[in-house]
Amino acid sequence: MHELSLCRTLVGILETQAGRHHYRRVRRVELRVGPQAMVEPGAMVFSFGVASRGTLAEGAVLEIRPVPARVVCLDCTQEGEAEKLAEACPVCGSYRLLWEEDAGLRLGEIEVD
Amino acid sequence: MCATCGCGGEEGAKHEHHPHAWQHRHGTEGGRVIDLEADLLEANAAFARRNREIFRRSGVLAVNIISSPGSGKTTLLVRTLEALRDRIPMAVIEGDQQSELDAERIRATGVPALQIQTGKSCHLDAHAVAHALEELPAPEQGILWIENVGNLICPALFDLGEGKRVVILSVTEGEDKPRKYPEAFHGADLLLLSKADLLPYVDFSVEQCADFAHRLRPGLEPLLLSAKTGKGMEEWLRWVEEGWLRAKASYRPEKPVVA
Ligand SMILES: Nc1nc2c(ncn2[C@@H]2O[C@H](COP(=O)(O)OP(=O)(O)O)[C@@H](O)[C@H]2O)c(=O)[nH]1
Ligand SMILES: [Mg+2]
Ligand SMILES: [Zn+2]
Ligand SMILES: [Zn+2]
Ligand SMILES: [Zn+2]
Ligand SMILES: [Zn+2]
Repeated sequence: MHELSLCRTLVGILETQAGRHHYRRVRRVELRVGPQAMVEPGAMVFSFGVASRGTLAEGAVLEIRPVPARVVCLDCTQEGEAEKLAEACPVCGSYRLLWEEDAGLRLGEIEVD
Repeated sequence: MCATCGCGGEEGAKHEHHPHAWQHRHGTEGGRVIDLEADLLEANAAFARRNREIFRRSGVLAVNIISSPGSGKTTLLVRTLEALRDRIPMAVIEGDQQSELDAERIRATGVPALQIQTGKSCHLDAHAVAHALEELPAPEQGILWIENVGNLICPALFDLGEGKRVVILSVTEGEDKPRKYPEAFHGADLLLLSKADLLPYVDFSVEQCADFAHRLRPGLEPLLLSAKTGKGMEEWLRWVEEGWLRAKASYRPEKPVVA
């Protein structure tokens, strides 16, 4: 289950950053997920519970937020956002979109004490 | 606890979980908010770098094969192993998780194969490959084949540390696959159009497919191939051998330890 190793990484980052940002406890963690980063929310939350046990993030709420990707239409050069794969260009209907920027899987905002 | 990465400690442990916690937006109030912006796939990237370094030092060409289920990965592998086994040391990491069947088909060629139990995971990651290498060492100055899980979507996101990435699309799947799954094609070093013997019976435009592929990766030339008739095999094998010779050149034998 790759979600577990991703969550271990996540908790590791939270621990590393605690000194720099002066916090002792993490209450909420935002995970920004791009359209191409196929993670399963249920598995992610379960894994986060496992990985955060006994750490400063134990009991924190994991908030999974989908982030649209930046795309450019190769046919009409329209720039825009795509929420999922295989979306058509809203202007010309073409599927030939160039994916310029995808959030992938990123740790975003955290709420701490 | 595993020696490679320290993983495995809690995998089997009992724990509570809260499947709907992710829906509780802003469930806690009053804390300080910090924007961390850190990439979680960096963990995979680190394993990939390490695998790549192992391959480089051992002079190994590692090939990551990605396709939908049933596009002909195992069939092509078997043909390829038969053609090259007398000249090139090879091994196969089998990620297709259906059964032991694919690994059995590979082993019948006499080439060692390791089946990775991917369970419900829909792709291989660099960590899984690192563990596989503990059991099945990459063949020095040879080729390590990695048959990824049959899936055209998320294997594309996980760098395994491979030297070459091959995407296979069978002509029965339709030429619009690159348009639907651009990421897989975007990262490909070679696009194989398999089951070319079936072209007369299906509605598949090689030209259109090439067109889509070019837009996703300029210079990505599709190679028409049939494991059944052997069409395209010569060109495929030439491509493989060229990559192998390059990889071989980076071989650095372990220096003997001097007391
Ligand atoms: N007609 C034809 N069938 C093929 C070819 N290559 C593979 N197949 C068939 O496609 C099916 C799936 O092949 P397999 O290698 O198991 O696909 P994988 O799931 O990608 O490993 C099998 O029934 C093969 O016999 C080919 O070149 N031509
Ligand atoms: Mg297979
Ligand atoms: Zn458009
Ligand atoms: Zn491990
Ligand atoms: Zn539960
Ligand atoms: Zn996956």
